[in-house]
Amino acid sequence: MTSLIKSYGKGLTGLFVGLTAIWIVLMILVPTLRMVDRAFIYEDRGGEVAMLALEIDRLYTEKFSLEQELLVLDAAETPSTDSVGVPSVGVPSVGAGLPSPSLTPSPSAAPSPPVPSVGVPSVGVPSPGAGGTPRDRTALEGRIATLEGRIATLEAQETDGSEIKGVETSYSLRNFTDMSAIHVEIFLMTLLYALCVTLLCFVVCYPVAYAAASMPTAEKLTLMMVGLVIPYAINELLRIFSWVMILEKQGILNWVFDAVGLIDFEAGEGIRFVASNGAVFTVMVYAYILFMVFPIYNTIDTLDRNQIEAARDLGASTWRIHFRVVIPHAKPGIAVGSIMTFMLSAGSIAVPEIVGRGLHPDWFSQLIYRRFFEADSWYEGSAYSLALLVACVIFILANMAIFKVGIRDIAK
Amino acid sequence: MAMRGQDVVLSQVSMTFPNGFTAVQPMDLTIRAGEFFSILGPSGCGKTTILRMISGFLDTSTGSVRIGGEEMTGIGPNKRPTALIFQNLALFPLMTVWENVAFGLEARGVAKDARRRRAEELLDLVALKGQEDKKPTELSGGQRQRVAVARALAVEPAVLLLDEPLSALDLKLRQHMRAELKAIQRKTGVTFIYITHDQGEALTMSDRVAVMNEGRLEQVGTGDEIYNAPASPFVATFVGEQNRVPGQVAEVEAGYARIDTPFGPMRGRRTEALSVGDQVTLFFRPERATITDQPADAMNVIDGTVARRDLEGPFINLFLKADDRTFAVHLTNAGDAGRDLDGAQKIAFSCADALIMADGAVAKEAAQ
Amino acid sequence: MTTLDTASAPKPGTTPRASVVTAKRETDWSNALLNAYLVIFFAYMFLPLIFMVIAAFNASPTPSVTDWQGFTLRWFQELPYDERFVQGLFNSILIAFGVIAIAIPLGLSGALILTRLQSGASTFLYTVLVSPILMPGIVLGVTTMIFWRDFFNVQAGLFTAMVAQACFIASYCMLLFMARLQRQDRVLEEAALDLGASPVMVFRRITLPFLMPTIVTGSVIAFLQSIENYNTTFFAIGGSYTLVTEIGSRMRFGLSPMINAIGVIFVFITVAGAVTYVLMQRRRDRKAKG
Repeated sequence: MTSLIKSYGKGLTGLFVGLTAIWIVLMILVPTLRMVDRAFIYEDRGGEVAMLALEIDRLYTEKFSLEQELLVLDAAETPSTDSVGVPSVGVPSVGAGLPSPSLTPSPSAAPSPPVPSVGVPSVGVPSPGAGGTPRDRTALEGRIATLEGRIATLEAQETDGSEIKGVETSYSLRNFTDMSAIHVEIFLMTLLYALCVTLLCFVVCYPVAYAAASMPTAEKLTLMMVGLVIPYAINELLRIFSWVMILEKQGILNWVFDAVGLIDFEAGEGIRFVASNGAVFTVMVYAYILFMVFPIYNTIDTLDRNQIEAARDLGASTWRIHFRVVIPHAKPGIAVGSIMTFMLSAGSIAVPEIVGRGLHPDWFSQLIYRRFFEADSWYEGSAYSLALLVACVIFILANMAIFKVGIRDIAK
Repeated sequence: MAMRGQDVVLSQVSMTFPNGFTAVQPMDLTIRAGEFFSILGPSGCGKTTILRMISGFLDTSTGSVRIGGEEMTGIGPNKRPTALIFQNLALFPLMTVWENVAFGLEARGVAKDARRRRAEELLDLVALKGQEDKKPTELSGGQRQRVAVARALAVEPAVLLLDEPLSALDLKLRQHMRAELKAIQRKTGVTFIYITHDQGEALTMSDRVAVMNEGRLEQVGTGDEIYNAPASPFVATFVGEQNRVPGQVAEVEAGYARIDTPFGPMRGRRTEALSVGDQVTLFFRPERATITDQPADAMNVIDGTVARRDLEGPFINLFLKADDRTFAVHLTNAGDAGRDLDGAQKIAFSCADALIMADGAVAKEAAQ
Repeated sequence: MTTLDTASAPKPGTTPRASVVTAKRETDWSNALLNAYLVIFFAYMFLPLIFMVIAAFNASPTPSVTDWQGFTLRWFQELPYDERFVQGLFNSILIAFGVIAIAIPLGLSGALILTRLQSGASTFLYTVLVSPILMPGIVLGVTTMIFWRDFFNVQAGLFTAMVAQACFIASYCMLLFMARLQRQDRVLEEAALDLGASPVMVFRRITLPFLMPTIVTGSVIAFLQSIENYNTTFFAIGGSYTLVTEIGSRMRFGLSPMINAIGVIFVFITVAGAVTYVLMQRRRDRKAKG
């Protein structure tokens, strides 16, 4: 600290320290800690209040279907009243009767969709009798009245309850332990795919980086660099888009297949590549490959060419030169490239959203998105984000251990 | 050039770095106003640390620095009446020559016109008229040197601190700049404190020289005193060349001592108290010894064999082997002295030219 | 290890010349392989982009290369009339300037502190300050969104998107500044201080001019990064949109040649930028030589 004051004086040091503190506190640490905090808060949607809400929902639904039956009876009695129109929308709207929309169980949380009724009046439920008997009518009306009574009491309870408690929250690990098997599988598959993308990118990139670093003339190197920078600088989405055009059902790849007679385009044949994990994988390799090239190039570039000459002079084979001389030297670059590629692909939302169009099994990033914006469950979303973050941190640490590089070598 | 030098007084100043290394042992040193003062020592002896404590870049661990009678503790480098010329000159590469020179005035809030005028005057003083609007990189080494001097003088410092500023120049230019610096110092009357490991620079330019070793002052005195009457084995060996003969005190006389050596008894001056039996070293300089067949005295003679003979223009340097030691003798290249010397020879030197001191640290290598 | 020994020690029978020839033949062979590989690699990199560009000029209402229905500029002409694209572009630029205004001072402060801080805390501080780069973009978007809503009741929108982007772009800027500061001659600052300059003046007259080139490159990079960003923005922007998130959401609902047209504009700007950069570099090199 004194060295800082010595360099910049008290005023400027205060300014720099203040700005950095703002950056760390308001933009990095506290937001991350808040997310971690939320990840361990369990929102008790299955708790008393939420159960009430579910129960009220269920009663409304039941009441609605009874009313439908009643209407059918009416229709049968007075044919002039057409079955269409009257009750169609509106009536059973799920949230309308509830005090707070946020209590609405999300579609994913509720086991059955609470709107089973829309189809009922139009199709027409086959009535038990051709004409309803008065006995049926009275019974139905009676049941409806009972239901209304129960709903009223429950709603009263709920209003009291929500004033006192709201949705119960408590610290627990349940956001993680409650993660459904499918979500865990998606999480693991995402990491596995990201790992494969990383490995494949490395295999594809290494020769390119090596070639760039051993370009004989400055002109050739410039040309090569321009060739690498242009696709790198073009927006991620556009890179993805260009591949969607290829993989579409009416896309270029199918056209090529048609041309070689593999499929018949005219007959409407065509392989739907886009909605597969394979397509997501392919596009990801394309989209993030250049994050691998540049770090590796940078490190190989610092290798003294004489070392390679010396190794070759000693009779080492090309393979041996690479495994014993070039790759060990390029370690920090490989570590950086791997970390960037892994992090980008594991956290990619653009590729699965656009290539997959939601038609293929989820990517973990999409799950996070849905937790936040569709299920409106920020606690679970935080837990999912934290899981992803921890996975990336573990990957970074593993990389540092494997390649024996420090944090200062990594971020350059 | 209305400038005036001020004195610099260090009392019990020391410097210990946070890692525990003591660069400067507590020392007292007074540098007089208007003096050209050099601090001479091998690299790592602490001389640059002293300079940085005087200029204010380092806080003293103990003791105080006073300039012109004023206590400097707690005063930053930008508030002290000193100006520093850095080893690599540290000219601002993005500014023109005149902006460089006028930078100190800009810091003092002087208006632009006045700054420019003053910069021109100073550039005139260092013979750089007409180079005002160039960038430092467009100048030669010697010219850059002069810009640095002009820039330092622009703030009218009472003390100018120079940190080996000539070390990057070649020999010819270095010698030229020595004379120029000396002339500027005379003209301005500013106190110059000059750090160097080059004894030639220290001896030729300075009014007084301090010799430092391992954070300690070994000796402070005029060039003559340092060279002719070194106060310690270190000074004796660091400044100029010395032949060394190990021995044991046999007899102590007033101002002199007699010792027994592997080459027989010898006699030389002494400056410190010695007692019989002390382990001592006798020093004599190569240029004070002669080769002779008839030594005037039986003492102070070494029998050796000529091993090498180097002709160095005005001198002939002879290297003679005796036992497993080599002794150097520099003969003036006059007449046919030393022309055909080889084989067994006698080295002789007078008692007045020999100095006997108790064993102590000697310089690992002599200053250039 | 035995293979290494036989390989490295020339056999007594073979002359050194022969081994050089063998090595050379192997080099030629692997070079040819490498060149072939490069051709395939660059085809892989560029063909999709070329298809995209071609389709932008195809009159077919779904972007296609194979089904050519005639040359048209229609998709370009329609762009300025698409309100959401125009508004998105405006939002993008607004955010980008905000990001520059935040990221440059933050990155500079961090770099200045890290290069001067002489303590064990510096590695920790460094780790914290580069962590936004190493964090997945969506996590950064999520944390920013949560933080601003929970603590300041600011809903996700252009502001949170800007803050989230600035957070990691500032890290990039910091790395740029640190690289530059490591090449700084610290003595220059001392010299200025010694000549009586206040720390503020030293910073203004010595440090800042030295950092100017990096401030310019940093701003350009920050601008581009901000405009291009999708992952972080997608989470942090809430109901609002930028050009890129708008493109993204349209792509999800099907392909439109208008996106190809935007793509062509991006490609054109990128190529022009790259070429200008190379030409400037050349001129600078020639200047340095001459």
